[in-house]
Amino acid sequence: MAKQYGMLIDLRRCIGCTSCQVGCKMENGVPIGGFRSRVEIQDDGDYPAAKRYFLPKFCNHCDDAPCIQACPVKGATYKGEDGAVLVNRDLCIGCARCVPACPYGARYLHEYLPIKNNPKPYVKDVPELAKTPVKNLRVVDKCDFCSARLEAGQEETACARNCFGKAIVFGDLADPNSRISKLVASEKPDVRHPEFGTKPRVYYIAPDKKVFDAADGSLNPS
Amino acid sequence: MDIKVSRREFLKSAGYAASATALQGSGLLALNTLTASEAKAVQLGMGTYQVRYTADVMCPAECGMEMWVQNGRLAKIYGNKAVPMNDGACCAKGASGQQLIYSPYRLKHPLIRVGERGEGKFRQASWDEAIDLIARKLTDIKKKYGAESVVMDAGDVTDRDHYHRLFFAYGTPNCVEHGAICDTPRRHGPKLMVNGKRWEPDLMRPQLVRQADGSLKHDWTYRTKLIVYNGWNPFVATRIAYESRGTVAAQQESGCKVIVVDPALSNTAAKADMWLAPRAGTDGDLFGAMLRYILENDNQSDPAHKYIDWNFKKYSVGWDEFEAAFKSWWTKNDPINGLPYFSLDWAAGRTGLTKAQIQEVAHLFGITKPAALVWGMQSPGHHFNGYCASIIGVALNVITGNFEAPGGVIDTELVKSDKGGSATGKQFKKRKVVRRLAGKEVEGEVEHLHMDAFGSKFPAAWDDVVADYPDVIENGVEIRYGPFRGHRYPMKGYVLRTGNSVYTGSAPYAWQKALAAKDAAGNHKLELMVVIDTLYLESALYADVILPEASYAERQSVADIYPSHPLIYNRDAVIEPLYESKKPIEIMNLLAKRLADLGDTDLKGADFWQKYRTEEDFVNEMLAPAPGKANIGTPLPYPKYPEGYTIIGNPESLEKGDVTIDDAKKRIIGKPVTVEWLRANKGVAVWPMSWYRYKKSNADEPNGVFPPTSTHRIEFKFDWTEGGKRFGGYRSYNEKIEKANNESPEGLKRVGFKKYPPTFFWFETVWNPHTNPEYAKYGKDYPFQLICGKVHHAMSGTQMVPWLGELKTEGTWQPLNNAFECELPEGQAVGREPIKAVKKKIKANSYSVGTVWMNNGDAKRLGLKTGDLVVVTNPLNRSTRGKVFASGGMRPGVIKMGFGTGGRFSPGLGPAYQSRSYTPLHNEMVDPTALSPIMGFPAFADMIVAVRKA
Amino acid sequence: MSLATQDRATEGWLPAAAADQVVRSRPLLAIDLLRRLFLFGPSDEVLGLALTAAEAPGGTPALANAVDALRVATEAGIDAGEPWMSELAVEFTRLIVGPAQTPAVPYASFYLSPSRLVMTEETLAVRRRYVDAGVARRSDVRIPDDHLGLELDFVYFLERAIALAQASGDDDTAQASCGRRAGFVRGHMSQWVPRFASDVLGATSHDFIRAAVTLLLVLLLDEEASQPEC
Repeated sequence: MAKQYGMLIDLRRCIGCTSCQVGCKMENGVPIGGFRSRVEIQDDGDYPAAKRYFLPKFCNHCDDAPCIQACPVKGATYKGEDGAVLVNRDLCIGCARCVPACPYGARYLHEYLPIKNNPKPYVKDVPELAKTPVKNLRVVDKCDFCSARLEAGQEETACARNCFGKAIVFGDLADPNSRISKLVASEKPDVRHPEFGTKPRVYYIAPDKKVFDAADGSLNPS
Repeated sequence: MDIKVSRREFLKSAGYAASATALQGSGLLALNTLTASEAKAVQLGMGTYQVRYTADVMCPAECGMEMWVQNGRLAKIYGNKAVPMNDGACCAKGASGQQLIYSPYRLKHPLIRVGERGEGKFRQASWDEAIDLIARKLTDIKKKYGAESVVMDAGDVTDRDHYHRLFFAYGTPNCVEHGAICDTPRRHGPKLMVNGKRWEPDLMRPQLVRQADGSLKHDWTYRTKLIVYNGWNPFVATRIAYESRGTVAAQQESGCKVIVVDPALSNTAAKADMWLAPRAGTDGDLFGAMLRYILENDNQSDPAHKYIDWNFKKYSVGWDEFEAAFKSWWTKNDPINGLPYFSLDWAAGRTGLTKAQIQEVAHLFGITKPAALVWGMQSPGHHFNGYCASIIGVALNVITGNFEAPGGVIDTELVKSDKGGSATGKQFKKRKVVRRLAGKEVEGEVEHLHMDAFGSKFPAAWDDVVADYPDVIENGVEIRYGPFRGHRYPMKGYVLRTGNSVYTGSAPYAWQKALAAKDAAGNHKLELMVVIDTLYLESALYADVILPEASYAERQSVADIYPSHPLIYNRDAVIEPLYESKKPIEIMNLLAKRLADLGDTDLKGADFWQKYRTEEDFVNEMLAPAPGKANIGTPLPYPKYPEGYTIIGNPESLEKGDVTIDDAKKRIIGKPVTVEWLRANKGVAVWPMSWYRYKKSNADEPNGVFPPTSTHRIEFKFDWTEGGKRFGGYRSYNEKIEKANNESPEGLKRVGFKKYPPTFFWFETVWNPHTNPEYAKYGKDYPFQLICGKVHHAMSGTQMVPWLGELKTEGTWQPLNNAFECELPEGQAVGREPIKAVKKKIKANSYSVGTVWMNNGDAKRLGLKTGDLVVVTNPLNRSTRGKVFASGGMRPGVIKMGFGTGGRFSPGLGPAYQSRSYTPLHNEMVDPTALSPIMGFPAFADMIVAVRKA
Repeated sequence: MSLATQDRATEGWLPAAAADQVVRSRPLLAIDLLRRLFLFGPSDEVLGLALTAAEAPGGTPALANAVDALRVATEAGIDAGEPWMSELAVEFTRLIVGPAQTPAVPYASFYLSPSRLVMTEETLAVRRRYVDAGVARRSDVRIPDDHLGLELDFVYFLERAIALAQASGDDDTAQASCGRRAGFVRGHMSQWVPRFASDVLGATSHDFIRAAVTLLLVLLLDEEASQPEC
């Protein structure tokens, strides 16, 4: 059976160092202002009871992903066999419908990657495409669980490799003996905004649930 | 003949001669011709990936790195999994290395100043011309004033050895480095009492441990039960990788409790089980109260109050004297609050913590074992009286049995591998020199000319006094101690390499004034200023000559780290130096050769250019003494070798038994650690860990080896005579004073000391109205204490790195920028170019800048909110501007600014330069005359300020 | 960087006097001047070459004009005395050397790759062209291959080879080098040097630098106007 990748962030060990965020930018060449991953750091409360929350955010690689439903091009954004939600840069027409469709803000248009597919056949269904000259259309980008690293045989994402607190656990949810499966079973972790009903496969061990409110917000600036 | 005509003829002949180059060989200047086989080899090598193991030098933690190179370009950066320092991880700063190495802001060519110092006007020069100019000036200064008039400031500790070697050989003992403006008061207690440096928790995992069956095993178990971090912020300031992951791992895996003592809610404090926020500059007060509480409440027969492990007395000397001196204060009343020193009430009054809080932390530290009390550079390190806290901190760890206990606290200096060896050139300081004093010729050694060690101000400053140079430039040096007593000399040359003392070495205005100062004849008092660096920082604006140095990925050396476990790793050169930058070894050899050509017989080919033909030659010599630590502790690292002998050699040969034993010198000598060995072993050598190094492995008695003090015991007294012999960490300094008619050093006089104290001592810090009556009068007009702290990724070398600008970090580094446009390096998603530079518009409030972090209640009272621009003023009539970040994560009455984050006035800082008008320059607030009494260290964190809306 | 060349002795059998004449033609002197200027900055050699080139034979009328303009600027500088020379060095440094960011960047990659940085794919493409012609950066030279000074050094190498081969009647060699020069100048240098030149011209009013950059442009235009077969 194919691997079913997922990720778990043990917030007890997250020290807010943002190594995941920058390691990701280095690995994937993410432009300034766009994010595949980002750590939200938020101060809360008054002295002396003040707190600071750290919340690393990623694409949740939802099993019921609204971004896939929003995409007008079959296969341009899709669920990979290994569970990751992926973008096919050859097919994406840069219409950006998936961007607001993601309730977590996990997607952004990559300013240096022009589209490769011909958008003309889709203008009927996506009339707003006509407003932008084709040469200005950019493909959408997002976390892909470092698919290039996985293909090269390195079974960890750059963020997990670089995590200074060893808080990020990446692995195969289909293997009950994997570290992530054991932690999911024993720690009953949370997901961000379960009420969205998207079935995320990025989990958080969060002893203080207030982190999800205090450090909430879109991964990418809207 | 008409001078213009002759000039024309001269130029024509120069042109004619130049064109004759074409007649020789291929006529090429910068290219050369290849044979067919050479061309083929070049073509074949293009395109493949190479993996190289190296170390990061973007910060002093110097994690082990794995770098991928393609076509000579750095393509990827990861942590090296073989190095337990960081166990495969690479932090945000490390991962952004490409944006620094390929930054458009690098220094690219040698430059010679043509405008005024500070103006930033230069012309390009060849290396030949630049080296020649420096060498001529150095030769001239040496003839006129003596070699001691030149100061070599290596800035970074990393790669200092090449430059120190050169200048020791040239004849100046005044070779210094970053440590001088880092945290010397913090290290004082360990240096004085165990001859060590920095104490960190025993958290590095995995540990390589000798098993009962003789095998070695990697042990991942965390043992620490309590950590007290006082003014130490390993998650943000100096990002020590093993402390970052180890602190949270110990919390999860061994139930460790973490207490952070810091006026600011640091990220480390944010993860703590308890955050205590005292007033600034009261670290010693808290430690003193903890020590008194533990001494008064220790009850050996009550397990709930059995704080002290009295076995420490077997391995130490002088506790009784120390305790008596400490207790003598208990009956004195403090003029500031009328309460007896070190009592809980006294400490509560001064620190602003409650009595119950102080009692709790004292009790918890006394009763929880193993525990580690750690104090950082942002507290004792940066206060005028940090020495007192540092000494009490050592005492607290030792008497509770936590020093060298598994899971306790480790002196990293006494663990880390030796390196440097004879490559450092220290032997040149022993050279005999003669100076004329009062008409007489006096002979001494080069070393005796050291401006601090034998100077009138800080003779015990074993890490030099960089912050005093502005005064030295203007007023010169007086040698008060040693054979050259009475000798005076000026500071005429300043060679600064990768440091930025104009900006970081106390108040910039004092530096700027001194560097521009001229004598009556209109010549600069400082006749030569050279800056050797990769980046164009503020100090370079004042340089007469700028030499571009290879970036950290382009030069080789050995990682300089403070580990809690014995190891060393190679910092390999990963790519070729870009532009015209050169490696330290090349600069050393070029300058040495030129000085020799100009007639300086102190510089010899056999010591430089003939001896070190490659970087590897130099690094192998540096590695030769590794690890250089004794075979001691429990479990004994090498049971098959004699206990107490010094271990030299790579782990492989030591394990195999491929060694010779030298009984006369008590040494176990295996095959040396070499560059070649390291490259074949993922760059790193790790030796077995052991604990309780102060005692024999099979008996509860001292081993006579550790610690490396005068008695090989932990020393609670600092100068005493026993059996006709004199001992102690302050002995040699007091002997100097006695030989000099008891003339006290100026630094000591300031706190009313005549000599260095024989045991426990106490004095108050400066600019603190809460603890020092002298400053109480300022309290009303300047209601805020100003502290500073490092933001790991927002220092000089990284402010032009946009990936790091996108991060928020605590209150001192927040996205409060004005909109700006700037050339920035960008990462690339496709293609083979890792980075691209683009002109980019950055929106307001999207890019982090240095801020003025204050309590939200204080801000409200002053009518301020986050983002408001304020003016911060001190009693010295100095001011700086910045935007407020207001949060509950700050003790009321305290303000924090990031060290080095604001007011950057060199255009080489890119984005940070753009924000200079609204980011605070913390050092502008520092009192340049407040150099602490023993080490001459700037009181970076002792200041009070007023805040008003701009 | 040391100026000493480390190459093998000149091959071929051209008499010394003839070779001397060949390498002292105006185009070669002009390229020699420019490569020295961009590799090492303004110097007595560069000024001297400006005077020498003005009197040398060969090249197009446009080249003669451009060289003469440079001579005029040089002589005016000589008349102005020492301050002019130091002003020239400072202005040159400000324009293309540093230490702060410069108005013009003397690297092809800055103009040609989307990256606008050094050591890009463009740099490697230039390295390949060098290797194909049998040359490479000297090991003690660390300036990336696509620095203007190195590229001019390469053009000088080709130009000199063409001139020497033609003088000795070696048409095959001349033809091969001509093809390389045409490919390099038209296919590569003309793609970026005009943009570099326009950045310099837009940022300075210094006569000598303007004349030198104009000369650089004329050399490129001459190549484009010439027959690729020589």
